[in-house]
Amino acid sequence: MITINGQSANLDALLRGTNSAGVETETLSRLSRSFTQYDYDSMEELRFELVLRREIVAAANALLRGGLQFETFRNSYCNPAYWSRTQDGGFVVNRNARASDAIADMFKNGRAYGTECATAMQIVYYGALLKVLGRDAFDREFAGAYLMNWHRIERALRETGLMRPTSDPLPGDRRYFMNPDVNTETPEWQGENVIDMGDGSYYGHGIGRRRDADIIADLNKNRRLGSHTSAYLMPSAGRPNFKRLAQLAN
Amino acid sequence: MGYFDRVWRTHGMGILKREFAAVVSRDRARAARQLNGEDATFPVLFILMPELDRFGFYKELSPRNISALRITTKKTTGDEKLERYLRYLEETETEQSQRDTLRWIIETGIDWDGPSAGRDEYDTVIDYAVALLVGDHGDNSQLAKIAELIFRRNRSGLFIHDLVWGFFRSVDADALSVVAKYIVSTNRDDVELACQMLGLDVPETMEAQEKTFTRYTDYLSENKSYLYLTGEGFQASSAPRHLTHDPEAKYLRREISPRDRAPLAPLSEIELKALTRFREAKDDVRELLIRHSGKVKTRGDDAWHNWINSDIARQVLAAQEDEGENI
Repeated sequence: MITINGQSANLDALLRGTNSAGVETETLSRLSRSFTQYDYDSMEELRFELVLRREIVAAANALLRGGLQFETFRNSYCNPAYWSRTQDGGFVVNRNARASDAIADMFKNGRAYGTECATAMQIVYYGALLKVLGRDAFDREFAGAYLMNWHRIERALRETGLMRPTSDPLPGDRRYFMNPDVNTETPEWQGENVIDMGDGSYYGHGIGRRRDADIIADLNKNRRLGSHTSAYLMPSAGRPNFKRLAQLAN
Repeated sequence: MGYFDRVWRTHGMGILKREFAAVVSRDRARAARQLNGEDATFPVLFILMPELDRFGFYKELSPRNISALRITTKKTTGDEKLERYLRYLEETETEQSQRDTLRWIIETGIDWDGPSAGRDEYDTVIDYAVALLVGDHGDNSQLAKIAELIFRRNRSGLFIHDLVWGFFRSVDADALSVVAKYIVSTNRDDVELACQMLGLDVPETMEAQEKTFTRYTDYLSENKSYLYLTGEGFQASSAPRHLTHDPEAKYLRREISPRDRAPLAPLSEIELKALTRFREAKDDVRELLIRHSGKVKTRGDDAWHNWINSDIARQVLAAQEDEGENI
C-alpha cells in the first residue's frame, strides 16, 4: 500500500502519471499490492524512487553490455586514467579526475576494469545516480568516490550494504544468493550479489542476466565435494535510502 | 630457530638465498637437514622457492615441505607441472599430515607480512591455508593468531575478506570471543572492524567500548549453545552476522549444531508440539517465552519440564506472572 503525505494513493492515478511501462509500472504495482505501508512525503519523492529504480535496472544492463570483467580483489584492475587501485583491491577516483567521468568510463570501457560482484553492484548504483542527478550534483556528492565491497562504502549508499528482510522485492533492489557450502578452493563463489531486474531475472557480475534457478545451479557447481546443501536466494534486500538521495536531486 | 632462519633474520632475504646456494653447492644433504628441520619456518621455504627450482631441490625435501610447497605453488605461480610433480612426491600425504603442514604454515608464517615485492602472493597463501585448516579440517587451534593477522592487515588497509571468511568457517563461539576482545582496543580501526565483524554499533568512547564488550560477552555466554553460522560475510553485507543465535533452540534450551542449525539430539513429541505453538506466537510473546524458559531452567530440570510440558497459554501465563512479580 502506498501513502503520499498521509493519504492513501490510487494505483490507477499513479499509473496514468507514469511515462514508461516496465520497471516503474512494475514497482508501483508491487508497492500497491503489498501489505506493508510505503509512505512518501510527496509525489516527487515517489517519482524520484521510480525513476532511480528504472535507472538502476538500465545501468545493470549497460554494465553487462560494457564488458566489465570479473576478477578477484587480489587481482582487480582499473583504468589508471581515472582510478587508482587501493591495497585492498578497491578503486578510488584520481584527484585530477571527475567522479562522473570515472564512473562513466566503467560503462564505456568495461574491459579496462576487473573486479568482484559486490563492486559491480556499487558501480550500477553510481551509474544510475549519475544519470538521475546529472554531472554537477554527482561530482559534488561523490568526489573521491571509493569502490570496494560492502565493508567500505560511501555514506550516501550505506543502506545498499545492509540486507533487510523483505516480503516485497522490488526492481532495482540488491539481492544475494548464498552458497553456504562453497568449496574452499573458490571463495569467490561463496555467494552472488545481484540486481533484481523486475521481470524475474537478476543481473550478477560475471554471470550475466539470469533466472534464479540458473544462478543457483552455477553456485551449486562450486560446492564442497559431496555437498547436498543448495545455494539459495536470501529473503532480504539492500535498498538505497531513496528519501535521502532524493534530497541530493533538489 | 633453524640455521637458515637465523641467516634470514640477521642478514635479510638476499643473503639467505646466497647462503642457501652456497650450502647446496657444498653439501646438499646438509641443506636438506637445515630446511627440513623441526625448527625451520614457512617464510624461509617461501623465500627460497626460486632457489629450490633453480637447484631442482625437490626430492630432498621432507613431506611437510613438499606439501607446503604444493599449497604455495597452487596459489602463487600456478605452475601445474610443478604441482603435479609435488603431488607425485607427496603421495604418502594423509589428512593428518596435511593438517600438520597447514598448522606449521600458520604457526610459523603468520607473523611475517611477506616480502615487500610479493606480499600479495604471500598473503594469498596464508589466506588459503587458513581456509583449509579451519574450514576443511575443522582445526580451531590458531584462531587467536588468525584474528591478530586480520586486525594487523586492517590497520594497514590491506585485503582481509578471504581471511575473515576463512576465520568464521570455524563456526565456533570462541571465534566471536577472540574478535570481541578488540572492542576494547585503543586503536579505532580495531574497534570499528571488531564491531563490523560482530554486527554491533561502534561505540564512541572507551567507557562505551567497555559496556559494549561486557554486553556482548554476556550475550555470548547466554547464547553459546544456540549459535549457528549464517553464511553472511563482507561479500554480502556491510554488517554481516557471521554467527547468530537460534531463538527456537533457546526457547527449548536445546543445543544445536552451529554448522547446520539442527538440534544435537532429536526433539520429543512434546517439544515439537511446543515449537509449533511457539512459531505461531507474536514476536513479543516469543521473546517473553524465551526469557522465561531461561529463568525456569535455573530452577532445575523438573521445574523446566513441567513448564515446557504445559499448554502454551499456561506457559505464557506463568511467564507473565513471573515478569509481573519482578516488576
